[in-house]
Amino acid sequence: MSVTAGSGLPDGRVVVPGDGEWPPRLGEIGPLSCPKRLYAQGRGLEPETPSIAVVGTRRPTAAGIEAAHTIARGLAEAGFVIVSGLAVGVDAAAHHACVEAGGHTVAVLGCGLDVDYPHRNRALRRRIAATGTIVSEYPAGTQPLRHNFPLRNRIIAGLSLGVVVVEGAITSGALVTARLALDANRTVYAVPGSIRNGMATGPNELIRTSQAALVTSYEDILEDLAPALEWARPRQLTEANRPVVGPDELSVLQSLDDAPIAADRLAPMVALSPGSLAATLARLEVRGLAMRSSGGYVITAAGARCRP
Amino acid sequence: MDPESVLSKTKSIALIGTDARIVEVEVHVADQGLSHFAIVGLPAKSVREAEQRTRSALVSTDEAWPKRRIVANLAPGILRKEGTHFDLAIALGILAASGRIDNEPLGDWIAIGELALDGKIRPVRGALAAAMACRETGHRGLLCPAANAPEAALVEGIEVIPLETLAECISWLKGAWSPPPIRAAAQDDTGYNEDLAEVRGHPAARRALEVAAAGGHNLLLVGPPGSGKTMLARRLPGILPPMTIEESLEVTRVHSVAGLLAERAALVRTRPFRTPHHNISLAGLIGGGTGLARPGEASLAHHGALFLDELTLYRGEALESLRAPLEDGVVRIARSGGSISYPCRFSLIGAMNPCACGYVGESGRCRCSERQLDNYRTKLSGPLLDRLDVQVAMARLTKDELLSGPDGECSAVVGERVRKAKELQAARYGSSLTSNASAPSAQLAKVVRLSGAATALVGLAVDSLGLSGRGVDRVLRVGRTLADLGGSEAVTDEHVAEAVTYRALEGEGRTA
Repeated sequence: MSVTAGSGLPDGRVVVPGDGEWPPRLGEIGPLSCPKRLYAQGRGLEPETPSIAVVGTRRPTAAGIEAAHTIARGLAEAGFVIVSGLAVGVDAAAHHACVEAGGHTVAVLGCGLDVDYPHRNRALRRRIAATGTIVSEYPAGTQPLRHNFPLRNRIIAGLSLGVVVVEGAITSGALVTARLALDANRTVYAVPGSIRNGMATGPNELIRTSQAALVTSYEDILEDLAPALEWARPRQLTEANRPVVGPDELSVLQSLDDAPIAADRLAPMVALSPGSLAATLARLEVRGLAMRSSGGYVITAAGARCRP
Repeated sequence: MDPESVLSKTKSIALIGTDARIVEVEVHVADQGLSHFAIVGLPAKSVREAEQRTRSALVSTDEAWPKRRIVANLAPGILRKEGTHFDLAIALGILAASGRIDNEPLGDWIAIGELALDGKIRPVRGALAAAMACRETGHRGLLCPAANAPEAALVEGIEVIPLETLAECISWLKGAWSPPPIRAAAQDDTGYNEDLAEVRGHPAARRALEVAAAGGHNLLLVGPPGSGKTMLARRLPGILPPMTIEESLEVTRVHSVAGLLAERAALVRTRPFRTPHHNISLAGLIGGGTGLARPGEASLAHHGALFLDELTLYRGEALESLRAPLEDGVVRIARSGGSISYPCRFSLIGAMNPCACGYVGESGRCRCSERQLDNYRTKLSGPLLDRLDVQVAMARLTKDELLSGPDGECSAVVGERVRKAKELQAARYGSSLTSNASAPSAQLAKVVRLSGAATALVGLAVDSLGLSGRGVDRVLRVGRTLADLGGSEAVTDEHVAEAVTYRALEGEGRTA
């Protein structure tokens, strides 16, 4: 078999156990589940570099995107490879953050490498092919069938030291990945969310049942992994880089959380006129302390740090 | 009366948009030849059928139809004629040409009216325009259907003769009948049935409505089904200042041409609120139709509001066609017979659900697939969204707000603030027709003086929210309106910040 056969792409290749590119970690998901070969495109898997998966729902809230972005970026800057599934939503946010940080990101597909899916991430996919790696266990031409995706998730878990679940319902694929990761003896990290946020039920449930460690920032993950990796301690957040906000802004920030809340609902909590409330929200928004989502507003990680 | 007279001249009008042009109706009854009737002068089908109506009406009125060769010429011959209102002038012309009545006194009068077969005179479209043309061309008065008389009588300085039947007209010409006084057109007392006080909750959207009214901005309301978008939109005309007499006449004229006045026959004093269904055709929305173009919903909303509910369901071409009229305040429709323009200075209010099922963002209720969400968001073109200066999200009211929410301010209070802001703009731009939304960009740059903090905030918005050039322009315009509402000369950072929240709702959060 020629090396390019089966991937359908000019720079595609087949990676089999024993190759330099083959990650031995993948074998830990069990001899029967471990794929016999991977089709790969791009930079190439780096078995020596620690990698971590960031996964979540395809329909995140703005807060979820924000969390995925911040965490993936921080981890990428700390030198981790970011693994995810190239789905829209949380996956895309994680890939994006890593690419923007100049890091190495690995996208694991549920279809052949030559199949353009999902269409919305076409541009992202091109960027990953240029700076990161795209892999799949499926030969060229395999369509994105429903049942491929849960199977794809075991590879995501297998490639990573740990899995961060950002948002997802209890029945979501992100939770499938988390369970597979636990089976493969990986650490699962979960970002908690509001009890009013339907997309936070998955991570909240993982935390409630002690299956996952609660994390709110990439520093938490670094701290957890650093002893094992002899990694540098994360830089401490100082008072100096906490944004300064006025009294109106602060009272609005204290009424926000990660579930979208309409401006009209905020009004009675903060006692501002509709005009001043709108102006205050805009100020928070342009400073990146709050953001719009589904017709309402949510707090960002930076905004949460402003609260005493 | 001269029995030798075979040629007569009477006058009527042809409608070109909302304008009426005088048409001379020449009737020639030949003293020989077979019985024949012809109408020339580019008559449409509705004009050609005048022969049958006129013939029966004359016979019913105990006048003979001359058994001769008759030609009616509508001059100028190059102008296309449409409508049934030529009947009266043609009938009078035949009577004059056959020596039954004196042609001489008719020269000072313009006649409009559709004949019924029994000789009654039916109302027609465009009586107000005819009366205005009558005054402008120095004619003495208008012979018109009694049902149209109150409308025509809105024009001062001309006589209006209200006619129920052709027989009355003949008697009047012979000095044997004098018309009854015309009841004055009801000056309906600008009664808006809906008041803002009835709207519970929604402080942000109420504020947006006020801003849109004050600055002449177009408004987009985005919210789930049942959140009260239509209810709020309906209250826009009620918070705008009352129309001036000139504005009222303009609106009445358009409605008269569209044939919407026949029953009320009153001066339109309430600002129109038009709600065309989303199946509306392009011609229905901006005007058109066969023959001479009729005004569309956009023109019927002149000086009022055009409300497009479920904005995404309208045909793309219909929405796109609104772009030029929104900029120009006028619709131009070119036809082989010439181009017609109708005024259409309206406020556009769009309403839409946040997604196809309407429940995106309410966890667990939205049933849309990724692709459906994508398609829904890209349904509206950027250029149209760009013209909706003020965009605001509305949430469904909670039980508490529905049951116990305090009544909001009434339309009169809000309307007073809007009036003051509009006066500031009229003084600034030197015209009550120019608003912050429609002022040319060059002029805008002169009147929007930003404080230092405001300039910094605009810069921050460009950097962190990716505000485009067009977006900055809108923020400045809306900011100017907010300053006017607050009675402030300068546009402060507070105004700019609030304006930023009314920017486009699409592209929320970080693009992922």
